[in-house]
Amino acid sequence: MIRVQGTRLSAALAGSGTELIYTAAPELRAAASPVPVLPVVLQAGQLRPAPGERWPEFKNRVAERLGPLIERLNYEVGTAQEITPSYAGNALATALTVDELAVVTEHPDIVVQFADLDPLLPVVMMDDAATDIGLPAFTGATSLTGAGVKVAVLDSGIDAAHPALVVSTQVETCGEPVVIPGTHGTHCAGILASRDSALRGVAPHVELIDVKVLRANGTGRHTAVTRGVDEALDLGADVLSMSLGFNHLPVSISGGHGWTCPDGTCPLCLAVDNAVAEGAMVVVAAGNEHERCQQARMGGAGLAYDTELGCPGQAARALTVGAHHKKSYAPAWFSSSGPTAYWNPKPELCAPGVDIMSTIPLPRDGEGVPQLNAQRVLQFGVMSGTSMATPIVAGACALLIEQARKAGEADDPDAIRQRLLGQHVVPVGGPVNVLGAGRLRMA
Amino acid sequence: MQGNPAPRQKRPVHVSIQWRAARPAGSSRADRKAAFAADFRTLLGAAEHVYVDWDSLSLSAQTVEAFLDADHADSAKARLEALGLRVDPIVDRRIIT
Repeated sequence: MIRVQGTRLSAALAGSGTELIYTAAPELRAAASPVPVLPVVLQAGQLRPAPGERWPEFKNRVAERLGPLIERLNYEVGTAQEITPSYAGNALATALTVDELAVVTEHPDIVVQFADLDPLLPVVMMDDAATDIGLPAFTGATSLTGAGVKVAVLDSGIDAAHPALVVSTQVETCGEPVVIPGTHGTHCAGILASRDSALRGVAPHVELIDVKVLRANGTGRHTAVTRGVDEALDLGADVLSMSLGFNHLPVSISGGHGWTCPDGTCPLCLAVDNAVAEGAMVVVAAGNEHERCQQARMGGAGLAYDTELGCPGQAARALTVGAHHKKSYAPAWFSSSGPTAYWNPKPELCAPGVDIMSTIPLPRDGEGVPQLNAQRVLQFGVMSGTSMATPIVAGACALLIEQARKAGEADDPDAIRQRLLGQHVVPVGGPVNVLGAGRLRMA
Repeated sequence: MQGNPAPRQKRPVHVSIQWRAARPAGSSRADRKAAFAADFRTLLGAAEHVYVDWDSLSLSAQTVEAFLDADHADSAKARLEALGLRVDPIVDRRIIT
């Protein structure tokens, strides 16, 4: 049996032995071409890098596995479509007719991951991160989606017109209207709550609150951020996701913010600690300053800053998140390491933060009207950063809050934090000052 | 003949003032905000060369935004810090991670 997820051609598949798991939205189905060519991703194994195995060696190993599959597509199926290998994903992206698909899926080592509207997306996508954190198994067993949980994304603004996002409330504290969405904010929101068939967020049914504390270009003031924390609390947010931070590098270093916080009580950190005291989980990015700090150390400026972590990432009660690579779980080269300036061990945990595919603002016409029928390649994009790891953890918190409420158990920040760190984090054997207690693993 | 241009005035310094007092008390956020604002107003009431924007009060950060007279910014800041307050310049930065 062929399992096809997210396809557009239910009619073409009828009677072909294909199980239709998901059907695209009616307006998308109506817009679909009648030509029965299905964009597909063909998964051909689950190879992972062996301990100590370098990327070229791993890539060769995967290539040996993908080679016969490419041959089969070229010679037996005779597909005219381009075939794009994804070595990290152990997969091939292409487009096939239903007949070709039937031939391909006879291959015992092939699983058709999904098919969706063209053009094809790269295989490196949120799906990979979801698998890395064991999300399909967890949500499959629990049916949790984040429903009833309010999550505020404090960022550069979310594109509420995006078809994959349902934004319940929008407020701003930065002086720029909420109708000007930020790429960064929209991307983080999608990781957390995208309802797209293929690029589904961690907790798609949360009540998503857009707290635009930064302009669309990612700039802003610390007072706009702290007022955003107030707004989120006033709106009753259960979880705050903050993919931002002021770093402690001096302004004389490129990208340095010159922020000081020797004891974790600066306005940003205190705002976070107070928010937790008021009953909200606050998930904060560790920061992307590791490489820059290393360069500063090598240049003899190692004493010019006291921590790689940003603020409010070094707030004592923040759930501070570092980033790791997908699949290999190696620390991301940019992920700021702990401890805090006051020698608290941080970050608490890490999550995938490299090459994460998620929503980006829709293109606008000359009058600023969003193009709702934009191609999918214009609706989704890849970004990296501890910013991307943060909404993954925020989404996980939302799922655990929903779970606790359904079970009649405590859903306060301390209880959820304890459950998350105690039951859903596995050690990865990396440096604890970069990866914390380990990587997020829901199941 | 054109006259000399007027000397450029120094801009007041935009800062946040944080009072890390005990966490504000009250049964609701509105109550806590009102109580904190009242106490903070009392504390800052006599501060010279400090112009506070009370609409900017952040309960979570325990801050208000203010402008310091440019000519007296250093001394005003020093007096605020002597009261145990933290004073940070408000500066735009690119802070997404």
